Amino acid sequence: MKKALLCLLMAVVLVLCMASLSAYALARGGEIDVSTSDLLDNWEELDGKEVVFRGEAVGDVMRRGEDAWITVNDDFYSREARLEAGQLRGGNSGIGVWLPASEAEKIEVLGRFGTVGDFVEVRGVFNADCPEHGGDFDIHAYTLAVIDPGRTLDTGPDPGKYLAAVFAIVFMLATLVPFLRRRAREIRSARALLRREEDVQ
Amino acid sequence: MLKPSRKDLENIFRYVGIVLIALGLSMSLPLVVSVVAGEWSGALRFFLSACITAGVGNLLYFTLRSRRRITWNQGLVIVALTWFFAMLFAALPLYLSGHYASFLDACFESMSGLTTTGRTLVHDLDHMAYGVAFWRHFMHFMGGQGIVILVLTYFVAGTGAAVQMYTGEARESIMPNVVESSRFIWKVSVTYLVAGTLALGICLLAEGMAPVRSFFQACCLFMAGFDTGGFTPQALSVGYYHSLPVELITLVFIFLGMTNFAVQYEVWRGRPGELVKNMELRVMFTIMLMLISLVLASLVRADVFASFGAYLRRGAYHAISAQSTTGFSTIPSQHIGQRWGDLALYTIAMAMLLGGCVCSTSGGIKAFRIGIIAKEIRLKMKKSLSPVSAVVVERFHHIRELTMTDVMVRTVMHITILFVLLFLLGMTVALLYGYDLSTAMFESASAGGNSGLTTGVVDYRMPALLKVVIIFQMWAGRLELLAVVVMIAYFLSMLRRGRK
Repeated sequence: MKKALLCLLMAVVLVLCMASLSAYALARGGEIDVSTSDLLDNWEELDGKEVVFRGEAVGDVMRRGEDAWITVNDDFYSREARLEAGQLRGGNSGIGVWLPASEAEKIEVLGRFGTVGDFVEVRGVFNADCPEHGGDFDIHAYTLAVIDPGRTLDTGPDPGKYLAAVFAIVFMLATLVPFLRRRAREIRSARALLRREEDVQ
Repeated sequence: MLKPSRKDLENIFRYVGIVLIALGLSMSLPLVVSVVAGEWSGALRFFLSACITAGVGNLLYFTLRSRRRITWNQGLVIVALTWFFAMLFAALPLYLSGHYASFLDACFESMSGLTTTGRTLVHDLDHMAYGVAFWRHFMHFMGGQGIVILVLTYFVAGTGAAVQMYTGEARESIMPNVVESSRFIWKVSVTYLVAGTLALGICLLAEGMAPVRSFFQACCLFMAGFDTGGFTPQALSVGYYHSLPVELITLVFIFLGMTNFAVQYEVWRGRPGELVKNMELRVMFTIMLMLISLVLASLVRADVFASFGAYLRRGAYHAISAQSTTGFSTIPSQHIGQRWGDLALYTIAMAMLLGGCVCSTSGGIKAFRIGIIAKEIRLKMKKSLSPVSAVVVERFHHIRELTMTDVMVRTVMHITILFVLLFLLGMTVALLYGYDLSTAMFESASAGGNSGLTTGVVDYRMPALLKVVIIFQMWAGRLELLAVVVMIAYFLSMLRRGRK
């Protein structure tokens, strides 16, 4: 009996927690936390809904009038830089975000080679086939917040590579010199043959 | 039957050596890009790779002293081997970049780049160095025009081997002299490269991109579009730019790339009438219209988009991208399989298998061969309706007026059958690994047709054997199988001789 009551109490607490979370989400405009895979797999349910998307701003800010396009990646590398973690976890995944240019200006560092872009949070409407942009798969965001500022990474070569390069150049020169000498000899003999033929004519 | 000796093999590898020297030299371009971008680690990697590649090339050329005249079959073996070794050495800077999980993955990428396929196993593309990104696209440019053609143009001029090697790389002669033909192809390509980079660079600049990145990405996109490759500098492919003008300009590159260079030569010579009269172009555009209609029908049936403009923009772009075997995409690739309906999926698979023109940068069976098969069917029907004594012939216009011959039909049928077998091989292996039929068909057509489109299954976690099979499909597909088949037969014949 005690066990049953305890279970009932836990169930009530769980329901209350979920209800309060839903109420909080509704109070914030019913925004749903999503990832790229959520958007790809559940596009039918999420199309036209208000969503919250977090990830690394990569590539470029492409300003178009009063608005701009940015790309936000939420893959493994948005949390662990490949150059630092040294781990490979597949391709990138992200989504194009259309937002006011004033919001895009908050981005200071974009993720490219040698940088980790700003980790941002965008809030807006998800479109599985955007009517405004010819069927694009995008988010029309109204706000952007930088959660974690980006940074520059150390991309300098390690000393071992310098040593390998020295060996490589020695190897190439050792083989190139005989090659060039041989080519020169071939060209000389071909020219001599040509001259002889011309003389005969 | 021919029984090749060790001396013949030396002869072959001597030419492979020359190509490796050229490949090593070509790595100086991404090296310069790395230096300009201040990527010292990348510059060192390219320097290392260039030295190793050119060094091995020198070693082969220097140590192998055979001076025999190259025979027809040796020319084909040289072409097939050249592409294989180019894959191995072009993979070096990719592997050293740290964007690939294994050397096999880097080889997959280099074969995909050189054969202008555009399928990728890259990790974290959006953080790739400029030098490596340039190399990926430059592989498209070299492979699209032909590595051997490049070498023919500047290294092997005037030798008897030139003709064999030129035809082995799936090219028809534009001019009486193959060296002149090679030079024309490179001249045209470099002219287009400059014009295309400028046009697209200005467009990207107007679309809000920073100047240096605009022209860098424009150059990469040109190489991938004109060479019907499919690599892009960003992971979202052409969809990254969210721009109709960019899509339209890339379509112009794609059209130029998928059109027969011989036809383009006629236009350059002031004979634009060839564009209308040419049988192959007519067939290609007829197929294109049919494919676009089928994809649009499937999209409308699946009720994917909200406006007619969106249907046309997305549907036509993907149909043309598939037929040209480019593989550019403006939507998430998974959606082709999930949302566009079976008809669109199979139509795109068919488009990748059919391909563009012969002597172009596109892959697949090619419009010329489809035209010949269609004409052969018509000829058979005509003959059956004519008196027994009647002589019925089929004529068509391809650069000049031609009469269809049995030899022509036989050659076309051989290559078409080999393509179908290559497609079945890839499909069977994918089915054995548990992929469903539609996915197996789509992916096999994409690999054999040298297209880069995927439904999302091409991934570094793919089984190693499947990666090897796809590498083989890309290699054989690019060389239109003949060179690879002759190479296999050549080595089998050599083994038989060894046993005796």
